[in-house]
Amino acid sequence: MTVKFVERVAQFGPEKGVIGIVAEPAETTSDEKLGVVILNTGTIHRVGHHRMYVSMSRKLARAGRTVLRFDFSGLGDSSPHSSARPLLQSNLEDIEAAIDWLQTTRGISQVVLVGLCSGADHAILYGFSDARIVGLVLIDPYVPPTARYFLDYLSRRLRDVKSWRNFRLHRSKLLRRLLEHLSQALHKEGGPGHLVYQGLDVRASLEKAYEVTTQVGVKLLVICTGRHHAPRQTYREQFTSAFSRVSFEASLHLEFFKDTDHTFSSVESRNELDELVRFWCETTKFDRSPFQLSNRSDIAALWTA
Amino acid sequence: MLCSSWGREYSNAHRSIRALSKRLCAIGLDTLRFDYYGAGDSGGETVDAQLDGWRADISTALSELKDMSGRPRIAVVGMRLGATLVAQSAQQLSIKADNIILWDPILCGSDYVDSLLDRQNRHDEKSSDPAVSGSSAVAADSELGGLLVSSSFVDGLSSIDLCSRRVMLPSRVLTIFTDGPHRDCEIGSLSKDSSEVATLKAPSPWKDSAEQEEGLPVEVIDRILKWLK
Repeated sequence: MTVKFVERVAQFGPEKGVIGIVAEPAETTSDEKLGVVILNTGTIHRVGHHRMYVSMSRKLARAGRTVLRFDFSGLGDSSPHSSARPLLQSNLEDIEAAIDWLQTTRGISQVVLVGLCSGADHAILYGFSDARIVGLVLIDPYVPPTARYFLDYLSRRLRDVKSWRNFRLHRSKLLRRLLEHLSQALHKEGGPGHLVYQGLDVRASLEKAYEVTTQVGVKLLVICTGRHHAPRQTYREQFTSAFSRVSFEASLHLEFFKDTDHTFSSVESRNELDELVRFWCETTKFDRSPFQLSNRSDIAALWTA
Repeated sequence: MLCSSWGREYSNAHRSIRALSKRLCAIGLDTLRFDYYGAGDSGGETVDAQLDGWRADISTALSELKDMSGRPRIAVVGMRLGATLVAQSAQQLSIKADNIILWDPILCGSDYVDSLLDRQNRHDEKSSDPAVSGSSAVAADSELGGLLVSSSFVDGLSSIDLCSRRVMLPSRVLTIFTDGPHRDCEIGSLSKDSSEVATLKAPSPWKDSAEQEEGLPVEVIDRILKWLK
Protein backbone atom coordinates (compact mmCIF):
# COMPACT_ATOMS: atom_id res chain seq x y z
CA MET A 1 0.00 0.00 0.00
CA THR A 2 1.40 3.41 -0.97
CA VAL A 3 -0.56 6.51 -0.04
CA LYS A 4 0.02 10.21 -0.53
CA PHE A 5 1.32 11.90 2.58
CA VAL A 6 1.65 15.39 3.94
CA GLU A 7 4.07 16.93 6.42
CA ARG A 8 3.13 19.58 8.94
CA VAL A 9 4.82 21.38 11.81
CA ALA A 10 3.84 20.12 15.27
CA GLN A 11 4.14 22.30 18.37
CA PHE A 12 3.39 20.99 21.82
CA GLY A 13 4.63 20.83 25.39
CA PRO A 14 4.95 23.77 27.78
CA GLU A 15 4.16 26.98 25.88
CA LYS A 16 4.23 24.88 22.70
CA GLY A 17 7.99 25.12 22.76
CA VAL A 18 8.65 21.57 21.55
CA ILE A 19 8.90 21.46 17.77
CA GLY A 20 8.45 18.51 15.47
CA ILE A 21 7.33 17.46 12.01
CA VAL A 22 4.43 15.08 11.58
CA ALA A 23 4.22 13.04 8.38
CA GLU A 24 0.83 11.44 7.78
CA PRO A 25 -1.39 10.11 5.03
CA ALA A 26 -3.05 12.96 3.11
CA GLU A 27 -6.41 11.31 3.70
CA THR A 28 -7.41 9.05 6.57
CA THR A 29 -7.99 5.75 4.84
CA SER A 30 -8.76 3.49 7.79
CA ASP A 31 -9.27 3.54 11.51
CA GLU A 32 -5.59 2.70 12.02
CA LYS A 33 -4.54 4.13 15.37
CA LEU A 34 -0.89 3.10 15.48
CA GLY A 35 1.52 6.03 15.35
CA VAL A 36 5.30 6.22 15.35
CA VAL A 37 7.44 8.70 17.31
CA ILE A 38 11.12 9.11 16.39
CA LEU A 39 13.51 10.40 19.07
CA ASN A 40 16.72 12.46 18.74
CA THR A 41 20.08 10.76 18.50
CA GLY A 42 22.50 12.60 20.77
CA THR A 43 22.47 16.29 19.93
CA ILE A 44 21.61 15.88 16.24
CA HIS A 45 18.23 17.48 15.53
CA ARG A 46 15.12 15.69 14.32
CA VAL A 47 16.39 15.29 10.74
CA GLY A 48 18.89 12.69 11.97
CA HIS A 49 22.26 11.60 10.63
CA HIS A 50 22.29 11.64 6.84
CA ARG A 51 18.64 12.79 6.95
CA MET A 52 17.73 9.26 8.01
CA TYR A 53 14.63 10.18 10.00
CA VAL A 54 13.18 12.26 7.18
CA SER A 55 13.27 9.33 4.78
CA MET A 56 12.15 6.85 7.43
CA SER A 57 9.13 8.95 8.43
CA ARG A 58 8.15 9.55 4.80
CA LYS A 59 8.31 5.86 3.95
CA LEU A 60 6.22 4.97 7.00
CA ALA A 61 3.72 7.72 6.12
CA ARG A 62 3.48 6.34 2.56
CA ALA A 63 2.62 3.02 4.20
CA GLY A 64 -0.25 4.69 6.04
CA ARG A 65 1.37 5.52 9.39
CA THR A 66 1.33 8.82 11.23
CA VAL A 67 4.90 9.63 12.21
CA LEU A 68 6.16 12.37 14.50
CA ARG A 69 9.84 13.28 14.72
CA PHE A 70 10.61 16.06 17.15
CA ASP A 71 13.39 17.78 19.06
CA PHE A 72 13.75 17.36 22.80
CA SER A 73 13.64 20.64 24.71
CA GLY A 74 16.92 22.44 24.18
CA LEU A 75 17.76 20.57 20.97
CA GLY A 76 17.16 21.57 17.35
CA ASP A 77 14.34 24.09 17.12
CA SER A 78 12.74 23.37 20.48
CA SER A 79 12.92 25.86 23.33
CA PRO A 80 15.16 25.04 26.27
CA HIS A 81 13.39 23.25 29.07
CA SER A 82 12.47 25.75 31.68
CA SER A 83 12.16 23.58 34.75
CA ALA A 84 14.90 22.72 37.18
CA ARG A 85 14.31 19.03 36.58
CA PRO A 86 17.19 16.85 35.36
CA LEU A 87 17.62 16.67 31.58
CA LEU A 88 16.54 13.03 31.34
CA GLN A 89 13.34 13.76 33.25
CA SER A 90 12.63 16.69 30.92
CA ASN A 91 13.21 14.49 27.85
CA LEU A 92 10.89 11.78 29.15
CA GLU A 93 8.24 14.46 29.74
CA ASP A 94 8.71 15.63 26.15
CA ILE A 95 8.05 12.09 24.92
CA GLU A 96 4.86 12.04 26.97
CA ALA A 97 3.86 15.44 25.53
CA ALA A 98 4.50 14.16 22.00
CA ILE A 99 2.23 11.18 22.56
CA ASP A 100 -0.42 13.39 24.19
CA TRP A 101 -0.30 15.59 21.07
CA LEU A 102 -0.72 12.60 18.75
CA GLN A 103 -3.62 11.34 20.83
CA THR A 104 -5.36 14.69 21.10
CA THR A 105 -4.91 15.90 17.54
CA ARG A 106 -4.80 12.63 15.60
CA GLY A 107 -6.67 10.14 17.79
CA ILE A 108 -3.59 7.92 18.01
CA SER A 109 -3.92 5.51 20.92
CA GLN A 110 -1.03 3.14 20.23
CA VAL A 111 2.54 4.30 19.65
CA VAL A 112 5.84 2.75 18.59
CA LEU A 113 8.93 4.66 19.76
CA VAL A 114 12.00 4.62 17.51
CA GLY A 115 15.45 5.61 18.81
CA LEU A 116 19.09 5.19 17.86
CA CYS A 117 21.83 5.14 20.53
CA SER A 118 20.76 7.66 23.22
CA GLY A 119 17.34 7.70 21.52
CA ALA A 120 17.07 3.96 22.16
CA ASP A 121 18.13 4.53 25.77
CA HIS A 122 15.33 7.07 26.20
CA ALA A 123 12.85 4.71 24.58
CA ILE A 124 13.59 1.76 26.88
CA LEU A 125 13.49 4.01 29.96
CA TYR A 126 10.13 5.46 28.94
CA GLY A 127 8.24 2.66 27.20
CA PHE A 128 7.03 0.57 30.15
CA SER A 129 5.55 3.56 31.99
CA ASP A 130 3.04 4.70 29.36
CA ALA A 131 0.20 2.36 28.46
CA ARG A 132 0.01 3.88 24.98
CA ILE A 133 3.47 2.54 24.06
CA VAL A 134 3.02 -0.83 22.37
CA GLY A 135 6.35 -1.23 20.63
CA LEU A 136 9.96 -0.04 20.74
CA VAL A 137 12.44 0.04 17.88
CA LEU A 138 15.82 0.17 19.61
CA ILE A 139 18.70 0.80 17.22
CA ASP A 140 22.09 0.26 18.83
CA PRO A 141 20.82 0.50 22.41
CA TYR A 142 23.43 0.25 25.14
CA VAL A 143 24.53 -3.38 25.26
CA PRO A 144 27.01 -4.31 27.98
CA PRO A 145 30.07 -6.18 26.72
CA THR A 146 30.10 -9.94 27.19
CA ALA A 147 32.97 -12.41 27.42
CA ARG A 148 32.47 -13.41 23.78
CA TYR A 149 32.48 -9.74 22.77
CA PHE A 150 35.94 -9.31 24.29
CA LEU A 151 37.18 -12.48 22.61
CA ASP A 152 35.75 -11.46 19.23
CA TYR A 153 37.17 -8.00 19.52
CA LEU A 154 40.56 -9.22 20.62
CA SER A 155 40.64 -11.80 17.86
CA ARG A 156 39.78 -9.24 15.18
CA ARG A 157 42.34 -6.77 16.34
CA LEU A 158 45.06 -9.40 16.59
CA ARG A 159 44.39 -10.33 12.96
CA ASP A 160 44.59 -6.70 11.90
CA VAL A 161 48.15 -5.94 10.84
CA LYS A 162 47.63 -2.23 11.34
CA SER A 163 46.76 -2.64 15.00
CA TRP A 164 50.08 -4.44 15.56
CA ARG A 165 51.90 -1.57 13.96
CA ASN A 166 50.00 0.87 16.17
CA PHE A 167 50.65 -1.30 19.21
CA ARG A 168 54.35 -1.11 18.52
CA LEU A 169 54.00 2.64 18.28
CA HIS A 170 52.06 2.75 21.54
CA ARG A 171 48.98 3.95 19.65
CA SER A 172 47.01 0.74 19.90
CA LYS A 173 43.27 1.23 19.71
CA LEU A 174 42.91 -2.32 20.94
CA LEU A 175 44.74 -1.48 24.12
CA ARG A 176 42.77 1.72 24.53
CA ARG A 177 39.47 -0.07 23.95
CA LEU A 178 40.27 -2.81 26.43
CA LEU A 179 41.38 -0.26 29.01
CA GLU A 180 38.20 1.68 28.34
CA HIS A 181 36.06 -1.39 28.99
CA LEU A 182 38.07 -2.23 32.06
CA SER A 183 37.61 1.31 33.32
CA GLN A 184 33.88 1.12 32.66
CA ALA A 185 33.63 -2.15 34.48
CA LEU A 186 35.48 -0.71 37.43
CA HIS A 187 33.67 2.58 37.51
CA LYS A 188 30.25 1.28 36.45
CA GLU A 189 29.82 3.85 33.69
CA GLY A 190 27.72 3.72 30.55
CA GLY A 191 28.98 3.43 26.98
CA PRO A 192 30.19 6.33 24.87
CA GLY A 193 27.40 8.23 23.16
CA HIS A 194 24.74 6.77 25.40
CA LEU A 195 23.14 8.19 28.49
CA VAL A 196 25.59 8.31 31.36
CA TYR A 197 24.94 5.97 34.20
CA GLN A 198 25.38 7.45 37.62
CA GLY A 199 25.53 4.69 40.15
CA LEU A 200 24.80 1.11 41.01
CA ASP A 201 24.87 -1.47 38.24
CA VAL A 202 24.13 -0.49 34.64
CA ARG A 203 23.37 -4.03 33.53
CA ALA A 204 21.00 -4.66 36.45
CA SER A 205 19.23 -1.36 35.87
CA LEU A 206 18.69 -2.05 32.19
CA GLU A 207 17.65 -5.61 32.93
CA LYS A 208 14.95 -4.21 35.15
CA ALA A 209 13.77 -1.87 32.39
CA TYR A 210 13.70 -4.66 29.80
CA GLU A 211 12.01 -7.03 32.23
CA VAL A 212 9.12 -4.72 33.04
CA THR A 213 8.84 -3.67 29.39
CA THR A 214 8.37 -7.24 28.22
CA GLN A 215 6.12 -8.10 31.16
CA VAL A 216 3.61 -5.44 30.18
CA GLY A 217 3.61 -6.82 26.63
CA VAL A 218 5.57 -4.13 24.76
CA LYS A 219 7.06 -5.59 21.57
CA LEU A 220 10.76 -4.96 20.87
CA LEU A 221 12.59 -4.65 17.59
CA VAL A 222 16.27 -4.45 18.52
CA ILE A 223 18.75 -3.67 15.76
CA CYS A 224 22.47 -3.72 16.44
CA THR A 225 25.23 -2.71 14.06
CA GLY A 226 28.64 -4.33 13.84
CA ARG A 227 30.68 -2.40 11.29
CA HIS A 228 32.90 -0.04 13.15
CA HIS A 229 36.56 0.08 13.93
CA ALA A 230 35.69 -0.39 17.58
CA PRO A 231 32.23 -1.99 17.48
CA ARG A 232 30.01 -2.09 20.53
CA GLN A 233 28.52 -5.35 19.35
CA THR A 234 30.41 -8.10 17.60
CA TYR A 235 27.71 -10.76 17.24
CA ARG A 236 23.97 -11.03 16.90
CA GLU A 237 23.22 -12.69 20.25
CA GLN A 238 25.27 -10.24 22.32
CA PHE A 239 22.07 -8.42 23.25
CA THR A 240 20.33 -11.49 24.67
CA SER A 241 23.54 -12.74 26.30
CA ALA A 242 24.11 -9.39 27.99
CA PHE A 243 20.57 -9.43 29.37
CA SER A 244 20.34 -13.17 29.93
CA ARG A 245 18.11 -12.84 32.98
CA VAL A 246 15.33 -11.19 30.96
CA SER A 247 12.63 -13.48 29.57
CA PHE A 248 12.15 -11.83 26.21
CA GLU A 249 10.42 -14.86 24.65
CA ALA A 250 8.18 -13.75 21.75
CA SER A 251 8.44 -10.05 22.61
CA LEU A 252 11.80 -9.66 20.92
CA HIS A 253 12.72 -9.45 17.25
CA LEU A 254 16.51 -9.14 17.09
CA GLU A 255 18.44 -8.08 14.00
CA PHE A 256 22.18 -7.65 13.55
CA PHE A 257 23.40 -5.41 10.72
CA LYS A 258 26.90 -6.83 10.60
CA ASP A 259 28.19 -4.56 7.83
CA THR A 260 26.49 -1.36 8.93
CA ASP A 261 28.06 1.45 10.93
CA HIS A 262 26.52 3.18 13.93
CA THR A 263 24.97 6.12 12.02
CA PHE A 264 23.88 4.12 8.96
CA SER A 265 26.05 6.23 6.71
CA SER A 266 25.34 4.23 3.56
CA VAL A 267 22.12 4.72 1.62
CA GLU A 268 21.74 0.97 1.23
CA SER A 269 21.82 0.34 4.98
CA ARG A 270 19.25 3.08 5.62
CA ASN A 271 16.92 1.61 3.00
CA GLU A 272 17.28 -1.79 4.65
CA LEU A 273 16.55 -0.28 8.07
CA ASP A 274 13.48 1.61 6.80
CA GLU A 275 12.07 -1.51 5.19
CA LEU A 276 12.65 -3.57 8.33
CA VAL A 277 10.89 -1.02 10.56
CA ARG A 278 7.98 -0.68 8.11
CA PHE A 279 7.58 -4.46 7.84
CA TRP A 280 7.82 -4.97 11.61
CA CYS A 281 5.17 -2.32 12.29
CA GLU A 282 2.99 -3.88 9.59
CA THR A 283 3.23 -7.49 10.75
CA THR A 284 3.59 -7.32 14.53
CA LYS A 285 0.54 -7.98 16.66
CA PHE A 286 0.65 -5.28 19.31
CA ASP A 287 -1.25 -6.32 22.42
CA ARG A 288 0.10 -4.50 25.43
CA SER A 289 -1.38 -5.33 28.79
CA PRO A 290 -2.98 -2.35 30.54
CA PHE A 291 -1.45 -3.60 33.80
CA GLN A 292 1.30 -1.28 35.10
CA LEU A 293 4.21 -2.88 36.87
CA SER A 294 6.56 -0.09 37.70
CA ASN A 295 6.85 3.62 37.92
CA ARG A 296 9.03 5.36 35.33
CA SER A 297 10.90 7.36 37.93
CA ASP A 298 12.06 4.19 39.72
CA ILE A 299 14.37 3.44 36.82
CA ALA A 300 14.85 6.86 35.26
CA ALA A 301 16.10 8.24 38.57
CA LEU A 302 19.17 6.06 38.23
CA TRP A 303 20.27 7.77 35.05
CA THR A 304 21.45 11.15 34.01
CA ALA A 305 21.78 12.50 30.47
CA MET B 1 18.30 35.73 6.07
CA LEU B 2 20.45 32.78 6.98
CA CYS B 3 21.62 30.26 4.38
CA SER B 4 23.02 27.05 5.85
CA SER B 5 25.46 24.53 4.50
CA TRP B 6 24.33 21.02 3.60
CA GLY B 7 24.83 17.37 4.63
CA ARG B 8 26.81 16.74 7.79
CA GLU B 9 27.86 20.37 7.98
CA TYR B 10 24.20 21.40 8.03
CA SER B 11 23.35 19.00 10.87
CA ASN B 12 26.42 19.86 12.89
CA ALA B 13 25.92 23.61 12.56
CA HIS B 14 22.15 23.64 13.13
CA ARG B 15 22.54 24.72 16.75
CA SER B 16 24.90 27.57 15.87
CA ILE B 17 22.67 28.83 13.06
CA ARG B 18 19.74 28.83 15.45
CA ALA B 19 21.80 30.65 18.08
CA LEU B 20 22.73 33.28 15.49
CA SER B 21 19.09 33.75 14.50
CA LYS B 22 18.09 34.21 18.13
CA ARG B 23 20.82 36.80 18.68
CA LEU B 24 19.71 38.66 15.55
CA CYS B 25 16.09 38.60 16.71
CA ALA B 26 17.18 39.89 20.08
CA ILE B 27 18.55 43.07 18.48
CA GLY B 28 15.32 43.56 16.57
CA LEU B 29 16.05 41.93 13.23
CA ASP B 30 13.43 39.66 11.66
CA THR B 31 15.29 36.53 10.69
CA LEU B 32 14.47 33.69 8.33
CA ARG B 33 16.34 30.41 8.10
CA PHE B 34 15.21 27.65 5.78
CA ASP B 35 16.17 24.28 4.31
CA TYR B 36 16.97 23.91 0.62
CA TYR B 37 14.88 21.56 -1.52
CA GLY B 38 15.88 17.98 -0.74
CA ALA B 39 17.64 19.00 2.49
CA GLY B 40 16.60 19.08 6.15
CA ASP B 41 12.85 19.18 6.63
CA SER B 42 12.11 20.52 3.16
CA GLY B 43 10.35 18.48 0.52
CA GLY B 44 12.16 16.36 -2.03
CA GLU B 45 14.99 13.88 -1.90
CA THR B 46 18.65 14.80 -1.82
CA VAL B 47 19.23 12.99 -5.10
CA ASP B 48 16.86 15.44 -6.80
CA ALA B 49 18.67 18.51 -5.47
CA GLN B 50 20.62 20.79 -7.83
CA LEU B 51 22.78 23.79 -6.95
CA ASP B 52 20.86 25.95 -9.47
CA GLY B 53 17.71 24.98 -7.60
CA TRP B 54 19.27 25.90 -4.27
CA ARG B 55 20.29 29.30 -5.63
CA ALA B 56 16.68 29.75 -6.73
CA ASP B 57 15.57 28.69 -3.21
CA ILE B 58 17.63 31.55 -1.79
CA SER B 59 15.81 34.01 -4.04
CA THR B 60 12.44 32.53 -3.08
CA ALA B 61 13.28 32.74 0.61
CA LEU B 62 14.42 36.36 0.19
CA SER B 63 11.10 37.29 -1.40
CA GLU B 64 9.28 35.51 1.41
CA LEU B 65 11.29 37.35 4.05
CA LYS B 66 10.65 40.68 2.36
CA ASP B 67 6.91 39.95 2.19
CA MET B 68 6.69 38.74 5.76
CA SER B 69 8.80 41.39 7.42
CA GLY B 70 8.11 44.39 5.21
CA ARG B 71 11.62 45.57 5.98
CA PRO B 72 13.27 47.88 3.44
CA ARG B 73 16.76 46.47 3.89
CA ILE B 74 17.88 42.87 3.84
CA ALA B 75 21.11 41.22 4.96
CA VAL B 76 22.06 37.71 3.90
CA VAL B 77 24.36 35.47 5.95
CA GLY B 78 25.66 32.30 4.35
CA MET B 79 27.67 29.55 5.99
CA ARG B 80 30.02 27.26 4.02
CA LEU B 81 28.13 26.10 0.92
CA GLY B 82 25.38 28.56 1.80
CA ALA B 83 27.94 31.38 1.68
CA THR B 84 29.23 30.17 -1.66
CA LEU B 85 25.75 29.99 -3.17
CA VAL B 86 24.97 33.49 -1.89
CA ALA B 87 28.20 34.86 -3.37
CA GLN B 88 27.59 33.16 -6.71
CA SER B 89 24.04 34.41 -7.02
CA ALA B 90 24.41 37.83 -5.41
CA GLN B 91 23.68 39.67 -8.64
CA GLN B 92 20.73 37.50 -9.60
CA LEU B 93 18.83 37.50 -6.30
CA SER B 94 15.15 38.40 -6.46
CA ILE B 95 15.71 41.08 -3.83
CA LYS B 96 18.86 43.14 -3.63
CA ALA B 97 20.81 42.34 -0.48
CA ASP B 98 22.20 45.42 1.22
CA ASN B 99 24.64 43.42 3.26
CA ILE B 100 26.24 40.06 2.63
CA ILE B 101 28.16 38.00 5.15
CA LEU B 102 30.12 34.99 3.98
CA TRP B 103 31.02 32.66 6.84
CA ASP B 104 33.83 30.34 5.81
CA PRO B 105 32.67 30.05 2.20
CA ILE B 106 33.81 27.09 0.13
CA LEU B 107 36.30 28.67 -2.23
CA CYS B 108 37.37 25.74 -4.37
CA GLY B 109 34.73 23.11 -5.15
CA SER B 110 37.09 20.42 -6.35
CA ASP B 111 39.08 20.63 -3.10
CA TYR B 112 35.83 20.43 -1.17
CA VAL B 113 34.58 17.37 -3.04
CA ASP B 114 37.98 15.74 -2.61
CA SER B 115 37.80 16.35 1.14
CA LEU B 116 34.35 14.74 1.28
CA LEU B 117 35.52 11.74 -0.74
CA ASP B 118 38.67 11.46 1.31
CA ARG B 119 36.65 11.51 4.49
CA GLN B 120 34.29 8.89 3.06
CA ASN B 121 37.17 6.64 2.10
CA ARG B 122 38.83 7.02 5.48
CA HIS B 123 35.54 6.22 7.19
CA ASP B 124 35.02 3.14 5.05
CA GLU B 125 38.56 2.04 5.73
CA LYS B 126 38.17 2.58 9.47
CA SER B 127 34.77 0.90 9.58
CA SER B 128 35.68 -2.17 7.60
CA ASP B 129 36.92 -5.12 9.49
CA PRO B 130 39.24 -7.14 7.30
CA ALA B 131 38.84 -10.15 9.52
CA VAL B 132 35.07 -10.16 9.19
CA SER B 133 34.21 -9.89 5.57
CA GLY B 134 36.80 -8.09 3.58
CA SER B 135 33.85 -6.09 2.30
CA SER B 136 34.62 -3.07 0.21
CA ALA B 137 33.17 0.40 0.61
CA VAL B 138 29.44 0.43 0.05
CA ALA B 139 29.46 3.91 -1.35
CA ALA B 140 28.73 4.24 -5.02
CA ASP B 141 29.87 7.13 -7.20
CA SER B 142 26.74 9.09 -6.45
CA GLU B 143 27.06 8.78 -2.67
CA LEU B 144 28.71 11.82 -1.17
CA GLY B 145 29.00 12.52 2.53
CA GLY B 146 26.56 9.68 3.25
CA LEU B 147 23.89 11.14 0.98
CA LEU B 148 22.72 10.02 -2.43
CA VAL B 149 23.31 12.90 -4.84
CA SER B 150 23.10 13.27 -8.60
CA SER B 151 26.22 13.45 -10.72
CA SER B 152 25.18 16.93 -11.83
CA PHE B 153 25.10 17.99 -8.18
CA VAL B 154 28.65 16.71 -7.72
CA ASP B 155 29.68 18.45 -10.94
CA GLY B 156 28.13 21.65 -9.62
CA LEU B 157 30.10 21.38 -6.39
CA SER B 158 33.32 20.57 -8.23
CA SER B 159 33.01 23.58 -10.50
CA ILE B 160 32.86 26.08 -7.64
CA ASP B 161 35.59 28.69 -7.95
CA LEU B 162 34.80 31.65 -5.76
CA CYS B 163 38.04 33.37 -6.67
CA SER B 164 36.92 33.69 -10.25
CA ARG B 165 36.44 37.23 -11.48
CA ARG B 166 33.04 36.15 -12.78
CA VAL B 167 31.73 36.13 -9.19
CA MET B 168 30.17 39.57 -8.88
CA LEU B 169 29.55 40.76 -5.34
CA PRO B 170 27.73 43.84 -4.09
CA SER B 171 29.68 46.59 -2.42
CA ARG B 172 29.25 45.68 1.23
CA VAL B 173 30.49 42.19 2.11
CA LEU B 174 31.92 40.80 5.33
CA THR B 175 33.88 37.58 4.84
CA ILE B 176 34.77 35.59 7.94
CA PHE B 177 37.30 32.79 8.02
CA THR B 178 37.64 30.59 11.08
CA ASP B 179 38.79 27.30 9.68
CA GLY B 180 42.52 27.78 9.93
CA PRO B 181 44.62 28.81 6.95
CA HIS B 182 42.65 29.16 3.75
CA ARG B 183 43.68 29.42 0.17
CA ASP B 184 45.00 32.87 -0.40
CA CYS B 185 42.66 34.44 -2.89
CA GLU B 186 40.32 37.33 -3.24
CA ILE B 187 36.71 36.41 -3.64
CA GLY B 188 35.42 37.52 -7.03
CA SER B 189 34.99 41.24 -7.44
CA LEU B 190 35.10 42.04 -3.74
CA SER B 191 35.27 45.80 -3.19
CA LYS B 192 38.16 46.66 -0.93
CA ASP B 193 36.66 49.98 0.13
CA SER B 194 33.46 48.93 1.85
CA SER B 195 34.08 45.23 2.39
CA GLU B 196 36.04 43.45 5.05
CA VAL B 197 37.74 40.11 5.52
CA ALA B 198 38.06 38.91 9.12
CA THR B 199 40.00 35.92 10.35
CA LEU B 200 38.72 34.86 13.75
CA LYS B 201 39.91 32.30 16.22
CA ALA B 202 36.61 30.53 16.79
CA PRO B 203 35.08 27.05 16.67
CA SER B 204 33.95 25.67 13.32
CA PRO B 205 30.45 24.45 14.14
CA TRP B 206 29.95 22.47 10.94
CA LYS B 207 32.69 20.03 11.87
CA ASP B 208 31.76 16.72 13.45
CA SER B 209 31.06 17.06 17.14
CA ALA B 210 34.01 14.83 17.95
CA GLU B 211 36.27 17.40 16.33
CA GLN B 212 34.74 20.51 17.82
CA GLU B 213 33.88 20.61 21.46
CA GLU B 214 34.57 24.28 21.98
CA GLY B 215 30.90 25.25 22.04
CA LEU B 216 29.17 27.97 20.08
CA PRO B 217 31.19 30.28 17.80
CA VAL B 218 30.44 33.32 19.95
CA GLU B 219 33.24 35.37 18.36
CA VAL B 220 31.72 34.94 14.89
CA ILE B 221 28.20 35.72 16.06
CA ASP B 222 29.43 38.86 17.84
CA ARG B 223 31.34 39.93 14.74
CA ILE B 224 28.27 39.48 12.54
CA LEU B 225 26.12 41.49 14.94
CA LYS B 226 28.71 44.26 15.10
CA TRP B 227 28.88 44.43 11.29
CA LEU B 228 25.12 44.60 10.94
CA LYS B 229 24.78 47.28 13.61
